[in-house]
Amino acid sequence: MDYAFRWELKGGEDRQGAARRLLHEALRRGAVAAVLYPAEARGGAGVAYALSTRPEHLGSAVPLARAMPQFGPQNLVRATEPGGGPIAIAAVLKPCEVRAVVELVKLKQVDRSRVILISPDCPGTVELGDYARTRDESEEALPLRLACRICRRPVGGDTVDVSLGTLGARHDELLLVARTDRGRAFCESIGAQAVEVPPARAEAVARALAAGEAAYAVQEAASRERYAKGGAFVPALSTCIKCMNCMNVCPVCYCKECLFYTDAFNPTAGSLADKAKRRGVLRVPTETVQFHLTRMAHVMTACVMCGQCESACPTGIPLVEMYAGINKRIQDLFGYESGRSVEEAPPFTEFREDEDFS
Amino acid sequence: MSTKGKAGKGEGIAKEWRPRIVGFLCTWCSYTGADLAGVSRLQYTPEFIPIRVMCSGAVDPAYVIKALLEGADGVLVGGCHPGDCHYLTGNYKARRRFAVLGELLEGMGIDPRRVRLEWISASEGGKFAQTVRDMERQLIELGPNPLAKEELL
Repeated sequence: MDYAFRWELKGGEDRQGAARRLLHEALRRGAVAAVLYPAEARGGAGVAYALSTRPEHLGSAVPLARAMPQFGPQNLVRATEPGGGPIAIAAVLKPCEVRAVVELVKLKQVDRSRVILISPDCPGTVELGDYARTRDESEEALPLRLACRICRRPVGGDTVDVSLGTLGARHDELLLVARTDRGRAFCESIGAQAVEVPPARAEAVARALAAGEAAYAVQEAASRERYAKGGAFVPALSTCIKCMNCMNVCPVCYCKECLFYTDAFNPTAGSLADKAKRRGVLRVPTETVQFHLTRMAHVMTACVMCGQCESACPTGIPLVEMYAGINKRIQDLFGYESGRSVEEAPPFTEFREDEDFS
Repeated sequence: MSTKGKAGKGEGIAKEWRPRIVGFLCTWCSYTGADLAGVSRLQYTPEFIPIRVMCSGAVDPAYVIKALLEGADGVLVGGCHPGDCHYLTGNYKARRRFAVLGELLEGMGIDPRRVRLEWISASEGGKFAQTVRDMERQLIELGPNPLAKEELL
């Protein structure tokens, strides 16, 4: 059951300002002990996540920023580690990041009981390097990241405590949609005004989700044409420098001891020479194709298609385009959708005796 | 082209290409089944390379991928029949990982028919030999693994 609350724009503020004031109220009234949110650098040059415990420091908060710094979900892993940190954190994360948090909760990396997940209806994000231009240029003028253009879930689902609704909202308000009891209590505790969920909300959300599904389906077909049939996979990885940024920024890649940092993937001088001799020619750094295929096998069931891997790639490998051809298909094998529910067990942690995938 | 398969020991002459198959065989069932095939003198390709693992559930997709990228034409993963896993549930987990791997390989343009997951018990020497023969036939149809010919891999 959804509960809606009206968060009115006051005194000439815009929605960004209203969202900022919401966090301010949450801290001021003690609804939470800390807030995590995108914060803007001086002069609007860039954006990064900030964790604040005092309302007076929220001046730089841009909760509705059209850019997504890396490590949003991972910040909650650290911030909710047993033993440390504030009790309750309200985190403003994009819907895809919330889905990643849900995966991390299931993998026992984030303590869900200490987090209020707040998520704006997401119009899509631009690359971090383009952030400075979001002030002056309209949403249409700036290229959205591919992951955003093909996003199937641009609105937070049932796992979000509070949606910062713009879809179906009036121009002079943010529509706070509480999806959980805790979300509802949070909205009440900051003094938001309870209202009926406006009918326009459901329609606008359904339209956004349908548009997302359609865009994904088009990309999925194109990706399969290119990679499953077109042989583009190995050539597309030819620029990989194996910096492993894609892995390091991946919100659902969580092993403390990683296979790729073991000796098996770090050749000695001898083994390198042996291999070069055996093959005649050896691309170095080695194991790039191995790395990418293995990464996909390991994380694709949990992948939320946030596209941070691609944004972090210094050589522009089209990882989102590759993943679009397999992400949904792999999760569909198990009737699973990453980030949909904390109740759904990750596919690799359970099985049915009578299932057959052949 | 035809010399990719190693010449037989001591022969030193090029032989007709036969697909090379790497097998990850669980020690309790499939490896023992392969043993039985051997002592029963059942025939299958000499280009089969068995690797004994403790459980099919211990076969990370990374191993299968590694074998393919190092030039194997096909990879067989052999485990106990459902319900017979020595560790109770390892083969069920293998089945899920393998399903993901197949979808992934196909999506990236690597023919998933090059990899196979089979349940072969310790008493099924015949099934083991037959599986490897079937696989060889399939791989001859598919031809050599194109990844092995990628120079800069």
